[in-house]
Amino acid sequence: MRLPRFEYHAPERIEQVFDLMESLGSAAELMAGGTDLLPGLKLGKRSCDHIVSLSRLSELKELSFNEAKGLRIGAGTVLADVAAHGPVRDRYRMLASAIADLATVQVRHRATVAGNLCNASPCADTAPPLMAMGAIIEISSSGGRRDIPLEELMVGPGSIALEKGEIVTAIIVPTPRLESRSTYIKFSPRSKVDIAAVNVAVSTTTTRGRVDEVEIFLGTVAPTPIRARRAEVLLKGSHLSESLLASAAAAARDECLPITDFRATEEYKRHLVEVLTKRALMTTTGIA
Amino acid sequence: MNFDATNRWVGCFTQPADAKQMKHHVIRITVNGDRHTLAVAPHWTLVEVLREHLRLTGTKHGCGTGDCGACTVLLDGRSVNSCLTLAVEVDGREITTIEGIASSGGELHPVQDAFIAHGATQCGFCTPGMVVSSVQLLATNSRPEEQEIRHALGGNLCRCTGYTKIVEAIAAAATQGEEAEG
Repeated sequence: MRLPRFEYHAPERIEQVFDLMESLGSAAELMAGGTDLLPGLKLGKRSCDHIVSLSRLSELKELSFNEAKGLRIGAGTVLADVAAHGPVRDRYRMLASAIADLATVQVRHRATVAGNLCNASPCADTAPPLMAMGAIIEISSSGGRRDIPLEELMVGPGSIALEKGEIVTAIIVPTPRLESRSTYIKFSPRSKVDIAAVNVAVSTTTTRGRVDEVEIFLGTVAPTPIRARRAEVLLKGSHLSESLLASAAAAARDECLPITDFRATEEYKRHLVEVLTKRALMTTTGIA
Repeated sequence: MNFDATNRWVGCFTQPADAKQMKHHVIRITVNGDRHTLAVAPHWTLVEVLREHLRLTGTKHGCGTGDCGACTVLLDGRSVNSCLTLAVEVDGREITTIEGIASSGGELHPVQDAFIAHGATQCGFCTPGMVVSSVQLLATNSRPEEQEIRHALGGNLCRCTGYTKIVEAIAAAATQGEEAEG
């Protein structure tokens, strides 16, 4: 399978990226790893006259952690490097495990977290964990920088809240609370390589059997990954019990909006949301 | 023409007739230790350049979409799908293809020996990618468990479905490596 023709630009300074994206507009696609864009072009699902590559921008390859500022993942950092990063393995285990089950070794050597998020797939593997950890998206343009919560980046399948000339330059993940517990569960008909039928990320903080903080994000069951707000409201401030977790999982089932596709029916995805949400909550709270 | 002047197979694809009119980019790459300077069109993938320009046809062009892994090569020591890598993006980088896995003296890599000893090939189309991914795995994990081997090879499909012997071969190559280290 061959690629259609396009022109290629690989700027070495970020200002040149802004200029190109502004002047080329919708004729250009921004490319990080290219593992979604290039198959899309080959299959005719996407088209563009120009590719603007981020590959030569060393400033986007930053990957750093400090206690005060949290984790900073430059938009050009590949998934394999993020998953192997010491602080990610120690403090952001949910993200490391989500990456370990994302695509293949070969793809993880090229693909980026920023690309995974900006493709805005409802089943993006890194989205629910990063949302549950309160990730912030750094957006840059010739006009300056602005930060938005990751939750506001995706507006629908394949669609993100960026203006013309803007690019995502980094993902910033706050330092997790020491007492918080998180887990990510991905379910797909094939155990590996496949994208998710349903994916769930849960983070909880509890004190003496009471839920202080809780974040529940569901992937693949709405046009974008969604927050299970009603389930969170049930849990927050309540005393832990198995029946409480069951009620919260049922609330998550009722508030998601899945569609039937070849991976699973709507009914089955709802069932999975209930089962996986309860399983994740049991894992993080230690309630069996 | 599928064969060049010295009667070497040069692949079943030909570049489009208008390719010469397009803006080309000059890249310098090292492939299996040999340096090359090439002019490439922006939309040429690494697998196309390896097979059709450098005549290194050991790397196979399978699905073209990053699913089958037949085109796996090492880019600066890391396995990638060469069908999803633009040739223009690898300027200045080092590439190892299946032709570069054996030593320059022709001595096979332990993984290659193990594939032969265990009969871990059927039609052979997936084999170059399987070998490169296995070499990558053993470089990062010298004694993988069976599940780790299966997980690491998730990006390499064998449509003859002969996975059992491949997994056994990799486990044997790992054990051998350990014994060799003594």
